[in-house]
Amino acid sequence: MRVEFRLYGGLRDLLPAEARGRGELELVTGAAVADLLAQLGVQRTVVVACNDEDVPATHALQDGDKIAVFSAVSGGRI
Amino acid sequence: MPYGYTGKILHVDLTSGKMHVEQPQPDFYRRYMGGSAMGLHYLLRDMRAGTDPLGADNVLALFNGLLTGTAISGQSRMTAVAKSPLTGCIGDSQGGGFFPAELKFAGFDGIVLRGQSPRPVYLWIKDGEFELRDAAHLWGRITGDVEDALHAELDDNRVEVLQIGPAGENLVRYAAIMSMSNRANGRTGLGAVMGAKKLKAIAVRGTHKPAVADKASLMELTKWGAKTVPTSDVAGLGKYGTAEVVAGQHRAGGLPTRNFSSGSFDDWEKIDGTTLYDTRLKGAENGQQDRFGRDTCYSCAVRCKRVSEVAEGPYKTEHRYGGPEYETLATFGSYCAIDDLDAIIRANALCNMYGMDTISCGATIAWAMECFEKGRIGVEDTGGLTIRYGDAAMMVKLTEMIGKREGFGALLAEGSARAAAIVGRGTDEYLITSKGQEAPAHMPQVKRSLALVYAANPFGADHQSSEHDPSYTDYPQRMAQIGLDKPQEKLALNEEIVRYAMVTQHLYSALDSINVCQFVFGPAWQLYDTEQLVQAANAVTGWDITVPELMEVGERRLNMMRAFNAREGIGRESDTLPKKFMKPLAGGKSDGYMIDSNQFEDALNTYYRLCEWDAVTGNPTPAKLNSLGLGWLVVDGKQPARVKVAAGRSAAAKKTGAKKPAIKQPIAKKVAAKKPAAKKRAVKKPVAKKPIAKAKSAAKPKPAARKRAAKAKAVATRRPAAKKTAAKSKPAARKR
Ligand code: SF4
Repeated sequence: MRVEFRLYGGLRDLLPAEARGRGELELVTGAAVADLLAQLGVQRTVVVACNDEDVPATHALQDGDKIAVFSAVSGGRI
Repeated sequence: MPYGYTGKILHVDLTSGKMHVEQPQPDFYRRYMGGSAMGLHYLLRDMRAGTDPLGADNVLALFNGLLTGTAISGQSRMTAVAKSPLTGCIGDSQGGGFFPAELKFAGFDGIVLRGQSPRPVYLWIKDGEFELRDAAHLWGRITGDVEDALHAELDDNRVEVLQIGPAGENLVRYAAIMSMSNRANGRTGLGAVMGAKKLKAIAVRGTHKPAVADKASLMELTKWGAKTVPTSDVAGLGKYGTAEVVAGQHRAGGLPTRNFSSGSFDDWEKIDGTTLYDTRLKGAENGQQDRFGRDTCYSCAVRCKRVSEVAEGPYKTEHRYGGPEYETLATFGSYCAIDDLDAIIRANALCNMYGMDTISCGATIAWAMECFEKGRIGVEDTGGLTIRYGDAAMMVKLTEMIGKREGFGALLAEGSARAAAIVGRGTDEYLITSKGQEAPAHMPQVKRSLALVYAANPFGADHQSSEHDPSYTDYPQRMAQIGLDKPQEKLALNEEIVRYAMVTQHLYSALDSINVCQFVFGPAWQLYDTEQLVQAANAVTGWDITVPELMEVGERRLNMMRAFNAREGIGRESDTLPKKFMKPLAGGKSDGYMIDSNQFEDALNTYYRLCEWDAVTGNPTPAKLNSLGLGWLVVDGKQPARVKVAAGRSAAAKKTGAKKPAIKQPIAKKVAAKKPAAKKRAVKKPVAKKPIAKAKSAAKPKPAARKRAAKAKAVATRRPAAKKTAAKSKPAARKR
């Protein structure tokens, strides 16, 4: 399955500069938010939204999900 | 004297020009540790209740901290305390840069300023020597010019300059104390206190590093921090500055917009930290921002400060005035519905040139915009100006008018709460102030513990006085270090959140006393956690302090501030929130959010109970003060609010033989407040290098401590510790 994501603030530096924090990833079916974060190399404490809803790291992703990742220090939690 | 400190505090009477050095006992250091608490000691000991904040009797205390001047990140901080001309309450603000470390290298833990100079002066301190010098040639000049002039005059570019700009001279009620022309002790208007004292600047140069008890342990922590920054939760803060948080704040519905009418700003991306980094930081044109566009404080590995520039156009700005923090991007940006980054950079630079708090300045302009939009203020009030949301040029124009106290700017220079009282017509409906201080860019509607802290904080609405709500959930292991292990649901304002607010308030209060940067040390996302702070403090001093002792220092400082307010008759009735916070927000993720007044009152009652304060008055009880070693603030077993104040001059003024102050009333009471008369003197020929008062005048032995103790009986604010901490008279100008 494929998910779209955006890394906000300083997290964008995990991707090449030209990506400006945006990208898509192919994940195995049943992958969770934690798998996405691991694949992106996110080590900081973060807030993750899936389709604009706050979700925990255990949240199972679906094909076509839109993921937003904010560093916890910047807020981002709704 | 414990390791880490210089053991010396410089006392300056600006009325008489007399100065002396005090060398407190070790227990004084351990009780207060530095910064805010240490300064408060002198305010509470030496000031009468009812003192005019802009008069000679206000005491302005500047103290650096326990770690200041060592190699570890986040240690070069200085706190200023005095009675605030903005709020009438205790005033308190922190600043960083290089001045705090340089002051320690020059031989002092702090400076206590009393009196009022008859003419503009600056204080020059070099390696333990000090003198007052004429500053007529500096008066009226902006910060960058003054810094250049002093570097030339003192023939040393490494001199650090702490100063006021024209706003401080003009007694703008939220004038800041500046250093490096871009760092501010911003809040509560203490630049106006310095201006009223006619003290233009303090220039320092020193070469003596503080002694450290356990160098190896401190070095280990220092190296760990420097190595950890890139992978830590402050990595983004370092690279993108505090502006990194704009996106998250908007997403959470917590980015104050249109004077706190909404928490969502559609054009947030135009004022975001990444946009600032990509387009306006020095070096951005060739990807060299990390080299040229980031600045730091003395020996800090985080390097979060911005160096921005606007090369051309109406908002052309040179980089020496730094760059906007998140708060500034919000107050001049989303508060005013402005997305023009160049205009915000210009307004920030104007605040740094004139020496003003960007939070109160931007928020006061936003208040004026809402009043104008709602028809409560018209062109007949503004001198013909049309002041609407989104008008970047008008926002920049008003910022400069405030710094100069020109036209409508003179009203706004009073701060929004006073301005609303002057204008009337229901303009108070649009205030976002607590205790008369404008709210910073974190919204209590979204982070409910801030509703309590904004209201109950002794120096008005402040975002740096406690940890914000989400951290309780996000950093459980670190929170457990300070006994917080029951995170609550978002938007809760129950007993546990009240406890969270109070406990983290005590810790932040300790941070402002040990005096460290709250981005580097703290209970949650910061580089070092609370236990590491204790380790660092012990490594420097050789003490054996624990987390509970640290927390008690914070609680002591908070109680000292409440006791100060209590003496002024300020208690529970001023622990309020603006009416606007009780109305629903519009749009975005926080649409409909508001503070419930009943829930807020319940939280306040719980807070007083947990703080062990009197629930009716909101004041610290005698039992609480005694338990914190503050029994000297209790008179006849009563709360400090009932303290009777001796008539006449303060003990300090009597000791120094100071004459009665010439200025007794706040100067800037009316809309068209006159500029201080001394401004005219700026055109006089400078007497640049002639010392007005030399340090040797302070070298005479002071009256013995017992004489002081006898006099102390005459005033109600007793200080049992007086003998221990009394000034030991030493030849003041002796080199270290
Ligand atoms: S984190 Fe930023 S503000 Fe704090 S000491 Fe370091 S450079 Fe200064």
